Amino acid sequence: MRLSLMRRISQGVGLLLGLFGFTGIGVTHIIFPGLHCYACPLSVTICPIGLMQNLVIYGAVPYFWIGMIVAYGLAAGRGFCGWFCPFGMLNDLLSFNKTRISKSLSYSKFAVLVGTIVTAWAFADTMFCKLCPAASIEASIPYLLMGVAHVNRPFIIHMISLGVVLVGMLLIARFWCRYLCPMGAVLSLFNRVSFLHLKLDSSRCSRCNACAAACPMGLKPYEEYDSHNCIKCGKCTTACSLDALTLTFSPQRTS
Amino acid sequence: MMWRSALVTLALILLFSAVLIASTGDLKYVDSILDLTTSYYPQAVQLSSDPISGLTEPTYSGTPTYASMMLAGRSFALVLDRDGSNGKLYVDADESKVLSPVDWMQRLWDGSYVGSASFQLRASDGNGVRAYHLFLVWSPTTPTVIIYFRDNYQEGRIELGGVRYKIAIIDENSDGMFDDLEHDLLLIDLDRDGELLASSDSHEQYWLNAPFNIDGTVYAAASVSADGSKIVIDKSDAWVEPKVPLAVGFPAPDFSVVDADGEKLSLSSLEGKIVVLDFWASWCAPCLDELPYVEAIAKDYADRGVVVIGVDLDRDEGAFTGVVSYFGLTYRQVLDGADGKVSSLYRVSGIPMTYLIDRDGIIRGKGLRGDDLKQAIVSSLATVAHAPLAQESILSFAVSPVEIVLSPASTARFQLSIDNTSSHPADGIAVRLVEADGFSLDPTEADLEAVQPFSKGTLDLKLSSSPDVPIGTDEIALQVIYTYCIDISCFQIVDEVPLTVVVSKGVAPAATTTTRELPVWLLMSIVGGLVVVGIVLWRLAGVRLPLYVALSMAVIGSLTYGVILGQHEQAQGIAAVLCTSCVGIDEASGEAPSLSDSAISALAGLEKRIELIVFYAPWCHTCPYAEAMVKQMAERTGLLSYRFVNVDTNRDLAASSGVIRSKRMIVPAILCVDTGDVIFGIEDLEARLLKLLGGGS
Repeated sequence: MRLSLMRRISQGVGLLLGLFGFTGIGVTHIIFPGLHCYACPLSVTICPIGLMQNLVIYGAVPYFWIGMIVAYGLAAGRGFCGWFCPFGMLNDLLSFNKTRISKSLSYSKFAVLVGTIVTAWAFADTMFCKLCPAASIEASIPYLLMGVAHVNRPFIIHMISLGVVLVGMLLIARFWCRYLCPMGAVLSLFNRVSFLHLKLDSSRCSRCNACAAACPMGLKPYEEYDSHNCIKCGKCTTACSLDALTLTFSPQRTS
Repeated sequence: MMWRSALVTLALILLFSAVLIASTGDLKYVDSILDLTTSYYPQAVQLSSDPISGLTEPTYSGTPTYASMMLAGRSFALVLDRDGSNGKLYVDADESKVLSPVDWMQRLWDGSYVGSASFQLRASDGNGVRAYHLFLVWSPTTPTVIIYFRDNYQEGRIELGGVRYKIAIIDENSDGMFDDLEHDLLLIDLDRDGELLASSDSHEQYWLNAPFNIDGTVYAAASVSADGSKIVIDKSDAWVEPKVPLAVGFPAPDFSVVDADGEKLSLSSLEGKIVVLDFWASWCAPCLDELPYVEAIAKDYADRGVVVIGVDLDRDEGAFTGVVSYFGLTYRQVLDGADGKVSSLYRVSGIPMTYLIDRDGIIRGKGLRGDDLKQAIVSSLATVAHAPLAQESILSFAVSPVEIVLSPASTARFQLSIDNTSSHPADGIAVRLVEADGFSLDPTEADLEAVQPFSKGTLDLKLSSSPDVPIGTDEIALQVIYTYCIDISCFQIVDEVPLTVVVSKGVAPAATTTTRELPVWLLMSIVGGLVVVGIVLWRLAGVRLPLYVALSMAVIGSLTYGVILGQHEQAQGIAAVLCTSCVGIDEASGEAPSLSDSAISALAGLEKRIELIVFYAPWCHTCPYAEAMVKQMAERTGLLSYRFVNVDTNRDLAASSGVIRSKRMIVPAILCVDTGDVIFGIEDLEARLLKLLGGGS
């Protein structure tokens, strides 16, 4: 099966899991391996970043969270951004301008992650959620339609942040995933040990740059195949006519 | 021959006198309990999709789930045929393996269905069956659980000390057996008014294994037959004080104490005044909520002959003075925590608790709060009764080592593990030794601030013996006192933990050390260390295997321990409750609400009583505003009553009250009990609340 089709199906599964609440099963114990608001009326999973903030507020050692997140990281690292996350999928669909990534700016998502933790602790509130564009789409708008929410200042703030991020996505492919996503930051820590990973056979590589042109994250896969920014979408592997890049699922070995 | 006859005669005399001393009562089955009590201890069985073999099953319209319920040591099959939010319940009530349907008699306001069924319990000797009526409850919001509890009791009469009393026994743990005395209740009509008064602070209710005092003679149940048809009550060697009646209409028991200002205070000295006793404690949040209101009553009605006495159950004077100065309380206070003189006299088990005592010293109201209290004072006639919530221990204890071995004039270490298996935090845990000659705890009292829900705590303790302690094995006990709150009621629990102490000569100190479990933080640090080592090996030596092993250990260890601690439930709980400010649906307001003039006049126009329930979560930032608004409205009209329900600890009630949208509880939510209408959030709350009350446009 073509990789791109497999990925669309996998993203579809991610979206289905994200919206599985239509079956009426309610919230489960599963932490979602991506950025997906648990307040979403159809969500059956727990947002890892929302939960993380709550656990920071509670001040308990989050064993369950750590266990799940490390398991996800070990399995695919940021592969969930490329293959599963519904908000990543939205980024994907708006990926028109695959400009080169700014490496130094890409660390800003770690700043967002640290800021999320620090503000949760300092204000004892889920401050990130009030700005989160995924929550704008998945919570603010649905609850407005359900008559629970109202057009008020928090709603407008949500819409502004959503608007800004959408414009960013239109101008720069995967803008949110590249520079801002705190969940991407968490998963990126595992990118170099995750089972799902990109493998480069440098003997086959002609450094033609075709993979770089295809990379939605603006990486040069033939140089940065194990970058923390790689979302393992595999577009580079299809773009490469020499089969120098492959996506595999196995423990990573030091080449 | 003569000796033998004398022995037989003596034996016969003894036998007869035993029969004469002990009183026997025959009890008959009563098929409904609602005329006796409406409180109950629910039991639950979990439904699963695993079928029960051998059942003759009907054609189901939905998906069947199965459970087995134990009654009188036998297993009874329950099958719930669930079709969406509809469920049909079938039971095998007579062990025939043939299922018969249970008709739902009623649907409660919280959406749950109530049915009842009469089970046929076989006697243990296999001869005969007896009926056992049960309530069965199913709620579509907790679809995998069937709640059940007894709907029957055994009633009869018994002669004690020449007087015939009406008695009843209740199978309180609904297990179909009456011979487990510590779990079942005895009701005895001590005031001979023909009514059996069932409540946890009733003078007529006792656990079946507890002694009771009638006119100076102490009795206790000696035996009860498993089917509850026979009870033998005998005189007891134990001594217990008689329970004074605390019901409305009875004289309030007198007490004489020194109040917090060092002045003598007795109830009898206040004859001619209307007295309000308010039992509170610093650890009881609902009590603290009530204090400003009580203070207002004390001030407003002081010149009309109303005396308010606060009885604080705190053991710590600092906590007491802190609360008194914070709320600026001016009415008289009794610091009752140390000896519990007043609270034990009034058998206060759950607080907040109030007593309203009239000018003649007669109890006129119990458990009154807010406006109810005010109205009862004004009329001084109100007789609103309040059934206190059940209280029970939520902690379990283990002592390590099981036997503490020490020599005279020495010290041994031991560890007390405290396991909280409930969903409520246990606070202010204080441990001390129940007085025992020759032993002392060092220091005399140990404290643990709290044990969180589904968590464990440990205390390292030292037991010292005096030089003159006798050699041998001693049974002594630790007393553990702690508090916890459910919703708006708080309880102080006193538990005893037995200690077995072996005193022997010449025990080397080394033998007194205890085995200790490896603490979790150490294990976690080891795993964390392994991850670091793994990373170092990978970066320096290019070997990744140790890192994979360490990360896998981290995953398995963290997930397992997290699940043991119930963190998966906590995570689900967080996700299942949506606080409107949390994802930015509402804006949390730090300011207190203030009612507009039009709202105040609209409230004045209310014509009927309305009850509101405010659902909140302790961590919700918008909830205090909603609570304050409802409170303010209630202060403006006597017709509005309200209560606050914490959805974290009262999920079922919240879930079944319509405070739910797409399987999520949204807080703050305000439910109008009469209409079932709910409003969420705090945006434009005043207008929406008025509309909910029917007083606005």
